[in-house]
Amino acid sequence: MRSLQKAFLFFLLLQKRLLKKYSFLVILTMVPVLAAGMFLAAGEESGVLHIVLCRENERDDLARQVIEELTGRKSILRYSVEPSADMAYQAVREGRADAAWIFTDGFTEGVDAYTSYREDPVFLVTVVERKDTVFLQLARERLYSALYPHLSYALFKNYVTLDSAAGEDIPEEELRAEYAAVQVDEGIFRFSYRNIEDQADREAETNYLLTPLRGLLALLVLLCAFAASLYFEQDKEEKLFLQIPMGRGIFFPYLYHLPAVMDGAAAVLSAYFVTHIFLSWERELPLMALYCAACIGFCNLCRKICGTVQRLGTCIPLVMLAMVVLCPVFISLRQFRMVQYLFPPFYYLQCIHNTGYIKSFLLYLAALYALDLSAALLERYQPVGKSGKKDKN
Amino acid sequence: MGSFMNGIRIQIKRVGKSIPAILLPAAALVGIAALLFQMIWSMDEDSADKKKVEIALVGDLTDPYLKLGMYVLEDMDPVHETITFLPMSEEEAVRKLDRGQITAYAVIPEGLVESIMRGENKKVTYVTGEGSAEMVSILVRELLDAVSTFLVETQNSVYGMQRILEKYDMEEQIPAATVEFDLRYMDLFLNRAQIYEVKEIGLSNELSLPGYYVCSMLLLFLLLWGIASSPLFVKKQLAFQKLLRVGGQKLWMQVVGEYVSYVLLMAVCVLALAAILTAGIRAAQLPVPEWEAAGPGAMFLLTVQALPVMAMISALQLFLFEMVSDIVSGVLLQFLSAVCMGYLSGCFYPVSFLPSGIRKISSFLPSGIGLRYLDACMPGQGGAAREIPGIVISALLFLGLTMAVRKKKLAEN
Repeated sequence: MRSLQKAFLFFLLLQKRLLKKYSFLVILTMVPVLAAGMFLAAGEESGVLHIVLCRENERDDLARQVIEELTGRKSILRYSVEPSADMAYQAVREGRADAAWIFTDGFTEGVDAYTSYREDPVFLVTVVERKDTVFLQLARERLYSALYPHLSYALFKNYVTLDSAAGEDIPEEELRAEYAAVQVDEGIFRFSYRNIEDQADREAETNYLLTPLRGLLALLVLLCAFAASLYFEQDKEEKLFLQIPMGRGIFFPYLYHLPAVMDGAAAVLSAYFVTHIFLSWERELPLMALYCAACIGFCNLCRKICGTVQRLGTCIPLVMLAMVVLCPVFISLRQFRMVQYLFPPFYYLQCIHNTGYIKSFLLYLAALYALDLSAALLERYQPVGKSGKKDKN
Repeated sequence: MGSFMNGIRIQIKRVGKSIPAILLPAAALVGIAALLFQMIWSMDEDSADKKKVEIALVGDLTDPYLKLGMYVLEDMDPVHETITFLPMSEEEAVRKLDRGQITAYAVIPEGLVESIMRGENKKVTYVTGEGSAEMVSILVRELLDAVSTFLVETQNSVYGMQRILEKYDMEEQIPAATVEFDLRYMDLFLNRAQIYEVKEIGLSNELSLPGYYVCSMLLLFLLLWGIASSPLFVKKQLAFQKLLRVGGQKLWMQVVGEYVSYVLLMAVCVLALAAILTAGIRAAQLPVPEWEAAGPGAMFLLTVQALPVMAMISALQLFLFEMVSDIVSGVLLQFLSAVCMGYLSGCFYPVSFLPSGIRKISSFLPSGIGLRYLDACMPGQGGAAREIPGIVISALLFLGLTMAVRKKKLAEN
């Protein structure tokens, strides 16, 4: 009990040491502020491709309607409208746009001709690109899905009025009403995570600018642990822990890491809150606690492997860069799974919407701490060094 | 002048002593990374399918309409080049998803086709395993959204036709008309490429996506390098600097001395690491079209060309070191600035993916200037010299700011 009290007191002292530095407080405050800025910026118009839309005939209402549907729809494509085909070409040629979709003169008649099976089909849209890519092919499927309701209605109308015995006299209103009578306007796909109850249609899950936010913030918590490791190593080199009886304990480094990691985690959780990616206290808090434990264990082990401040400092950017690429922050790589298993953010990010992964996370934690504690014991009972003294830190 | 050169010499000596301690672990890590990359790349080389996104299909796939639907989906251009559909049981799909062997799975409910026939769509559940939905999921969503539109509109049309035929007492025609309708819709979908005329104007000399990411990862590494140098450059106290000041060394001399030593440290370490990477991974092996014709040293050459960017980023990082007085804050500040600048300047997503407001900000940021410069250094590009004034101005600006902060700190001391 007494040792617990001492540990708590030491934790408070370490916390005070950190928090009295205004630069640390400012940086922690910056985390939710920057995340909120990212959230606001993501609300602005953006897209993986910029498509210029244009109609050759200004009076073509159907073309206008399709353009309005495209520009009004939430998508990963960014649209803008140019008044003439020449300007659309120009935009692609100058690299201001990735492609131009030019609705031809006679677009409405073309839709009718295309679905009547009585005339030779004509091109309805001219697609101008510099070079075809998979993204542009995807964009063309989007274009087709915008045209499809009109093509489908025209096909229906042409069949009923021209090819069936119902005749040509059916009024347009009746056709429209019958087409819409059994209106099935819901999509047939439902998007879900492994935890089926998790909403997968929120802004943070569907906006590609926001999806890396959780991963980047998770890396920040890990970095707090790395920073604490550097701090620890610096204090150790200055023989500071020799003054503290507790400084010799094998659990002491964990306690030492805790304040910085907890502060980082608090800043990250508040950033989740302001950016609306916070799921629930029951999910976020236990996972964050596990993640903090994993970060402390991982960084403490790295610290022991590196041995000096400078070596550890050098490894941090390389490890961070590897994590940005290998953990599912921006993309999910399948090729480097064995390396991914080494990093704490991988488990944390997997567990968020797949609580079944927690078992693996716990196993990882157990292995990590077993390894770290073994290293600590080895360090403690290592033979006497050159200096003639055993390092007791 | 003698005192200035002396100051620089002292700083270089101080930093130079740390180079082996910094370089050795970095070289070991980079060497391991290069080996791993080489090993995994050669393992995957023969299997083009492994580079595709694999999506499992769970449920009864024997229905001919469903097979047709699958055919339609696989026929979409971006799909057959990038996605493979694999039928399997739900247990296997869950297991493979958890192991990261597939990207997602789709559960097709029993009686899906009948429900579509009745106009009461049962839902196909698309289950992704990633903690955060990433780019692939978002692209698949876009595709499935399009597929949904095709199916729903086709349904609306078929029911509309059947109702009209019923209304006009032509029920006997419905079966034949439905078959005819299905055929026309098949034709409409499969010949969709006839609707648009694709014109490739072929003026593209823009950087390929892999080429772009080589430059952006190099820039991100340079931005993160500040973390590695924090133990050396974050100062708890300014006793030494005060001593130098008393000894007659002017403030600008101190800062420039530190700056020169920092640039040298960064250049030596980054070039050494690039040399190890170049030896470990042949540039031509990487899927970077710009390097296809280049010699084996293309990666190293790009790093050499990045020296002006290193000089600019060193100035920025020196300023950040000056802003803090403890290592925890120093490391966090370096990371936050690296991530924010990297994000805003297109290190993670190409800058063209970002909103226009961010693109404007990015063009003035040192990271934005640096990335434009690196892009221009890739073979077949050009115009790197245009970015030099921006690089020089940024470096001078940050050196000036560093001096201002140092002056204030020394005065407070």
